[in-house]
Amino acid sequence: MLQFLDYTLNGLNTGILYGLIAIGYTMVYGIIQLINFAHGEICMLGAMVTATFVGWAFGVDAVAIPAAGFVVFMTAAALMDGGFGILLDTVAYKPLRGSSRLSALITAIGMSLLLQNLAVMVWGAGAQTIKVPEGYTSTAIFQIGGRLGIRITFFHISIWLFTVLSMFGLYFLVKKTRFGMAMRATAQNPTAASLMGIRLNKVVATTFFVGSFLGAIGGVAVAINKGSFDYQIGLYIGLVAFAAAVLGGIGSIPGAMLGGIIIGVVEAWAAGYLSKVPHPFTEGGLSTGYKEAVGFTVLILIILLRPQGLLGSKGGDRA
Amino acid sequence: MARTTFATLALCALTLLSTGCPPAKQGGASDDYSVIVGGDGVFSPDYVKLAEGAAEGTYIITPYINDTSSPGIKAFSDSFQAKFKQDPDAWAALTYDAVGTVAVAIEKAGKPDRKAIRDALAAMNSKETGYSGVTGVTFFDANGDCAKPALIAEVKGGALAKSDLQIDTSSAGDAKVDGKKADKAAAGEPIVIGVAGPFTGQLQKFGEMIKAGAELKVEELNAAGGVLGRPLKIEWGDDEGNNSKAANVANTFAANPALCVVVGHFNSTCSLAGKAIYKNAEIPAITPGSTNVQVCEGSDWYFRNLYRDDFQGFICADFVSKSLKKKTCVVFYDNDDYGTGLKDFFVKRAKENGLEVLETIEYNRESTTDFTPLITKAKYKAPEVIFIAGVYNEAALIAKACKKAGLTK
Repeated sequence: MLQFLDYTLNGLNTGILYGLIAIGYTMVYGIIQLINFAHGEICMLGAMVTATFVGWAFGVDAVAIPAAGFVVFMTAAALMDGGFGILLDTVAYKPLRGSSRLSALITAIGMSLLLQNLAVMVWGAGAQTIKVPEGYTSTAIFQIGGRLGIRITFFHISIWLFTVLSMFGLYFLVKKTRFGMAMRATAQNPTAASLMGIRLNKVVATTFFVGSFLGAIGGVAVAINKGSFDYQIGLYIGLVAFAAAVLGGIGSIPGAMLGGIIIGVVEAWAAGYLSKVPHPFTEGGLSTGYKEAVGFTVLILIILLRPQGLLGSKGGDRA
Repeated sequence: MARTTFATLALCALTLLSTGCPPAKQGGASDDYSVIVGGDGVFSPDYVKLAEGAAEGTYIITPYINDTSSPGIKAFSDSFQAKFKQDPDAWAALTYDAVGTVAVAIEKAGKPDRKAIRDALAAMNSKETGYSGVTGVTFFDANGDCAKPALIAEVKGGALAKSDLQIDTSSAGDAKVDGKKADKAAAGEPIVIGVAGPFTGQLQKFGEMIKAGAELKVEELNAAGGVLGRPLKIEWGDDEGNNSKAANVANTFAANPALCVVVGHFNSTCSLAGKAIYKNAEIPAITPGSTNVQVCEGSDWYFRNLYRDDFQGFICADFVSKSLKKKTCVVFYDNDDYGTGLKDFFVKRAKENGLEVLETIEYNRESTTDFTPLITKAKYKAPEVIFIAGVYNEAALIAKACKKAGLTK
């Protein structure tokens, strides 16, 4: 029982990170109907820049990193990453605003490759680590079930706090502010919105900024959770976050978070219990190497049954 | 209102759970931490660097330890240190020896001809006819395989050192370094050899060491008059540890008529990719790092200068059950050829030794970003030993995650 709870918590912890990254996908799709395939790389850049900033500030081999300083540099890196997001839009997507969606999609894939290779040029292809304050990920604040039981560390508490605050913040932004109304209007009908005096470019730029900011924090947290990372981490987390966004209903922010949580939890359960499923061809159970595949299988099943995603709205494609 | 009630109830449930829950089932005494044992893919200074303190106390099986108490190794280590400002690891030493072996084979063949070199290599089939280098005497059996001892290294004080616990009593002989001096400089058309390895990418520390070992040997050979009086030149092939890129490198090497022999690849999965290509193109290859048993089997053209995974897997299982005297273990393995092969042999020998393998946990080098549920799976079994059949990158992440979860000290 404790083990099941542990797996579920593990899954929730990664799930909310996938959700944070998926929000970037879903917001951009809602506004300009583009799947920003370079979003995973933006998150990777966020992690890279955080690692660099922390390294510059406290020295590459430092052990005792002050918590406040860490938060400051991480936020700075995330803000800078938001800037990268806006830059990405300005350079790659804005010029294609009037063209077919396919052009923008191909450009997104191209930008993804470009950013990966840029990262190799700047940081090299080896493993990078983000130095965290001592005990941030290892000292258990709550411990359930003895030394080998469930451990809740400051890292977990901080990512949950951040996610909850972000969700409330986004809800407030989108539903309760005038700017949020502008975003919703642009998502519904950009032409009519611009006729009403809404500055489209400003709305799009802000969307990219917010999505990239959240994605950067998500990317940093994934990198800290994994332990080390390299330039290719954006590939996988981008893919999972995209799947999460689609699963929850592309265009829906709560859907993106829900999709992320579902995929994270299913992955963790798969890691734990796949070996109990008998292998169809050889003896023994299925190996844990399939855990990533299970998450995507769930996506396929749900989309087959409900093509618009869990919280997506049914409706024709607005060309 | 309903939301706050729900939140409070959830918090209460969590607190009750924490007080009322019995401790997780533990294998031994509650103060028994697990010990990490790694296969030779873990042997790299970057394992210690990336694991950041979680590597302390790990035992690693390796074909070579830079034990400077031996004069031959000290000479090699000093020249390596002088040129590259760091100590050589096992892969630098094996590549250094592989290039030396190849040079001797070219000399014996009398000409840089692929078939002649292969025959010369195959003729090095006993201790007397083998190549004497820093890793001992290299000689090949009918398959192209080589019998080298497996040493146990331990991470002590943040560095890789020779462990006091050794299990393999065989020896490949003392380390020897050529003291040949040149009577005349190497001149003429250079003889081209290919060196393939993961020079960029996730495993670039391996590549860095391989490059260094090869460069040092070629420099020394050229200073000592070259091979057949001609200088030796290296053609580098970067396979990034990936089997499709390895096939490209193999094709490029095979298509180069001046290239007479290959030192590489490093990863088992890459050597296996190159095996058929080298066999077809009839170009001999010697690997300083691939341990999968399939690499030399079925091909007259592939050789290796270290042990195979069956030997390594058996040594690892024997080390855990007989030297460390542990009864239970969990195996983490990479799902490529090296990890899966090593895991299979380890599990086989463990069964014979009465060592209980509680769980085998597979991970994917390319895509696993979250090791936490895998560690959770291991920790509830409370194993005494965690065996990692994979390379240093993921081994470091597993070590860090084990420390975070409280499995290791």
